Amino acid sequence: MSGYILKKEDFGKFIESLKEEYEIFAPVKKKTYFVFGKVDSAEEIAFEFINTEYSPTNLFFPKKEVLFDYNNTKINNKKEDITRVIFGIRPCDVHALIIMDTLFLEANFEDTYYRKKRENTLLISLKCNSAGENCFCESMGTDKLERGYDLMFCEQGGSYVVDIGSQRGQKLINELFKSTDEECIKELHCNKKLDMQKVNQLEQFAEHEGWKKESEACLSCAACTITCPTCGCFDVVDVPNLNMAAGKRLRVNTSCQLKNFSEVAGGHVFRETRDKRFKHRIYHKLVYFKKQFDTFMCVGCGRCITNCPAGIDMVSIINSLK
Amino acid sequence: MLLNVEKALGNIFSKLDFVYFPLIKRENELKKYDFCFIEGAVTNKEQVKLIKHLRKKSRFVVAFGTCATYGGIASIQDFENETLAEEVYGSKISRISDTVQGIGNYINVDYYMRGCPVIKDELLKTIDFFEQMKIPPDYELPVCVECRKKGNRCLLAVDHLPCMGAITYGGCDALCTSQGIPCQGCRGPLPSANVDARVKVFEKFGMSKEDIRRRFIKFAGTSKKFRRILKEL
Ligand code: SF4
Ligand code: SF4
Ligand code: SF4
Ligand code: SF4
Repeated sequence: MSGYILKKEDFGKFIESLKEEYEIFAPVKKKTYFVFGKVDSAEEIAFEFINTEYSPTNLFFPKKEVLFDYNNTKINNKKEDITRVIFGIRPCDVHALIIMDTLFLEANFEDTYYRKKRENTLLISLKCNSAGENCFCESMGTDKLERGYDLMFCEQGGSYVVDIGSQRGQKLINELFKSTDEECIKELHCNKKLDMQKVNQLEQFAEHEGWKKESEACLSCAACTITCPTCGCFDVVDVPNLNMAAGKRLRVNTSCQLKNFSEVAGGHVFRETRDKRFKHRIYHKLVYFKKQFDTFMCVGCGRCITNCPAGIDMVSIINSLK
Repeated sequence: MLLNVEKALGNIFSKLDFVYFPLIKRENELKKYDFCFIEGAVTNKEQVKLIKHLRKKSRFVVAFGTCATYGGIASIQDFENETLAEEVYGSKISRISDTVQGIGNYINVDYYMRGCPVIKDELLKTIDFFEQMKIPPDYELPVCVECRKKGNRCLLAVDHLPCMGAITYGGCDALCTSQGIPCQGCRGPLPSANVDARVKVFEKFGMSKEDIRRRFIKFAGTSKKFRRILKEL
């Protein structure tokens, strides 16, 4: 497809044009860090971020979501009819959504809550200008993006080079955009590298004593899975009102790092010890998921490293396995 | 705290009959109780006698709040030497408390409602369970999980503040950390808490042994988990 170009000075107008039909979510600055939030104008959007503290996959799989509420025998399903545009989603996080699709749309069952949000949301991806210290997307091959976006913006000089990824994206192109032959020439290089050869041998290291040793530092706080853009484990809980006649059903994100995650009726816990839980996350990301769906469950965003209060870094752990 | 759940108070009073509640009633009968909420720490022999008596007469006993669970802030005195008490109170005063402990040290407790203060929602949920003659499950979840779900930035990992969230029972919906205040550990240590790793992280971020000790002593120094590490520190 031939590309387009949008002058930076027209960006504000573009956002205004989107506003007529969509709610817009984009990176915004919150105190000292960046998160995705609803914005009303281009001025609110932050550009100086490497990546956001939390992934925009949260907008599709919220950490806590009301599925429905009930009153006596009446059930009210939540409406999901707002149409949204997410501007500024990084390529790795688009890859994370593609991975989540495997889980919530293409596996054995379909998750209607997720699907509706996916259908109602357009993605305008924004290429990275530079990699953060914990990014290793280059190793995972997730720095490049061939599908999954509606539009892809690439900052180049005083303009954005815009690539069309879908018909829905094409429809967003208006008179502000000029067609061009110019191409995005950005190449990203990460200082952090994951040794993929080691990753492919991980199964041989399953009983390695290193797991136990490394896990001694782990606090089992679950930050690594809660901030991971591809973790999709959840629990369903009912919250009745005190009169018991009304209440709501919630789905809440949970984590394999918690002891009660693998607890079954009768009180048996499958992954009782910390090292088993510690290893499980890494193996689910890089071994089990790959076996099941032929793709890694990690996009190299580095959030699990940045956010670990114990400074645990799975990349250096894997690289040093011997 | 119970009187603080204004909205649900009517509902609670219609479900429960308060037979012994010296704080709100003049006449308190001591017969038999379905549920007994014990608030505050145990500090002397008379109190031990009273709670043993209450235990015998009650079907379910709840330790209500961090003081009843671990001794709470007052239990700091057990970790300080006598000279400090003398400095504060003078040497002549006779103290009525010896050691400050949670009620679980003396009697069997069916449910620990942790927190300083306890959380309204947990209180209401517990009453719900009791109505069906059940004890609520002890939900093992660190504060971090709730903190993260609220979209906070980690005070420990990023700002290197002495947050106790990872080893502390959640249930407070990350009240403090959401305001930028590191978790003080008021709900006490999780059974699965990796206390040694926590000490290492604090040390790495430059905290002195004395400061680390203070962190552990503040609310739940009497808990098994913290008692052990306090001996080592
Ligand atoms: S974030 Fe770090 S300390 Fe917390 S559970 Fe994950 S590996 Fe363990
Ligand atoms: S495992 Fe870590 S690096 Fe990989 S996607 Fe999850 S948070 Fe990002
Ligand atoms: S790493 Fe753990 S929390 Fe994340 S998807 Fe896998 S099992 Fe679930
Ligand atoms: S700020 Fe404290 S409670 Fe929140 S995630 Fe960090 S360590 Fe856990």
